Amino acid sequence: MQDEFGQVLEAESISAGLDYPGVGPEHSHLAATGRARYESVTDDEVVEAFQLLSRTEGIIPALEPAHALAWVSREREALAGRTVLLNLSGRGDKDVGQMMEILS
Amino acid sequence: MTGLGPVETALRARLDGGGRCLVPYITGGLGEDWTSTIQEVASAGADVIEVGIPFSDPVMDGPTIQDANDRALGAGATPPGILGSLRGLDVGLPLVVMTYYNIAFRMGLERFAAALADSGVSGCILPDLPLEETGPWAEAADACGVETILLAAPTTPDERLPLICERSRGFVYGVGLLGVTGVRTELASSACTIAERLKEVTDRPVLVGVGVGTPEQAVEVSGHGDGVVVGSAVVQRMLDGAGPDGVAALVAGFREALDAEF
Repeated sequence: MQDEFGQVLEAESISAGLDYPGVGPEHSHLAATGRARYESVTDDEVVEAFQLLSRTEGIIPALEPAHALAWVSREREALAGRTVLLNLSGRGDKDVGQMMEILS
Repeated sequence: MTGLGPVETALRARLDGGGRCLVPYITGGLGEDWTSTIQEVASAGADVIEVGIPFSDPVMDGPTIQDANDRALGAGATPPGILGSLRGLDVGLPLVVMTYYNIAFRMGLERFAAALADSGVSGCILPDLPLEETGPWAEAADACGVETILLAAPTTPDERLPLICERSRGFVYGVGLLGVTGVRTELASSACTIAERLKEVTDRPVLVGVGVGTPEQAVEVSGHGDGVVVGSAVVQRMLDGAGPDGVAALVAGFREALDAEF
């Protein structure tokens, strides 16, 4: 994310780990070669997914992988009957304070 | 590029006379009178002046120059705007631009190099561009006669120093400490060490910057190298509203101290 002169612009995400204005070269390459597809979810969907996993499994996901959970949850009908591998890349203990504020 | 460019020529002239080099840094676009500041500083004993093109993420810079960058950008500074202002200046000494790679990359390396040359800028420092990635930029700069100044850090291994010196033009910039730009109470011992290590492997002028904020520190480190780059101390004066004369007085103090010793 940059302006016409190359000045970096402010990013915004509910997740500190995703609040970054750039994309790594590996992801760019995977996208360009068609080996990976990148989807987006909203902050509201992330908050829902965070609670869904916490309540159903007792596992608190970090807000970063909660984005992946939100997508799986949204696509659950299309994914039904298929094997889904989700990388729960971080724990959400670090995010509970922020979640308390969001949910209060 | 064949022969010496304007930056190295100016620095060598100072060194040949037995003196030490002084390169003040001024953030472009900071305040209404920043070009007047360049002119006054040029008359105050600078050998070359380094002009910063403000960047949103100045990773080498500490709080003072970060603040200066933010203020300049907030006032609407842009790379073409800064270069356009420099084009009209005739200060009688070489100017070098210091900015970050994305500014050059975004404009296009050939276009950026040509824009520097067109604005009368003789050299360029891109501190976040490592040696291994320098090729395309250095070729573009060489083609336009722009001297690319490379940096060596206290952590740079011995075997890497000659490679940096060989590719550097104008001078070699020794980074005085492990950290960001800014005035420190005392000169770091690493400043003298990097100057000595560079002098052992190159005939190019060796200037030390980062953490050189007082005339005394400039004299001390210049006993080991060929001179200094003074950034944050100068920019702090600008931020304090000293005006062109006030900034020039500070620079004159560095000149006097260096000339008294060397």
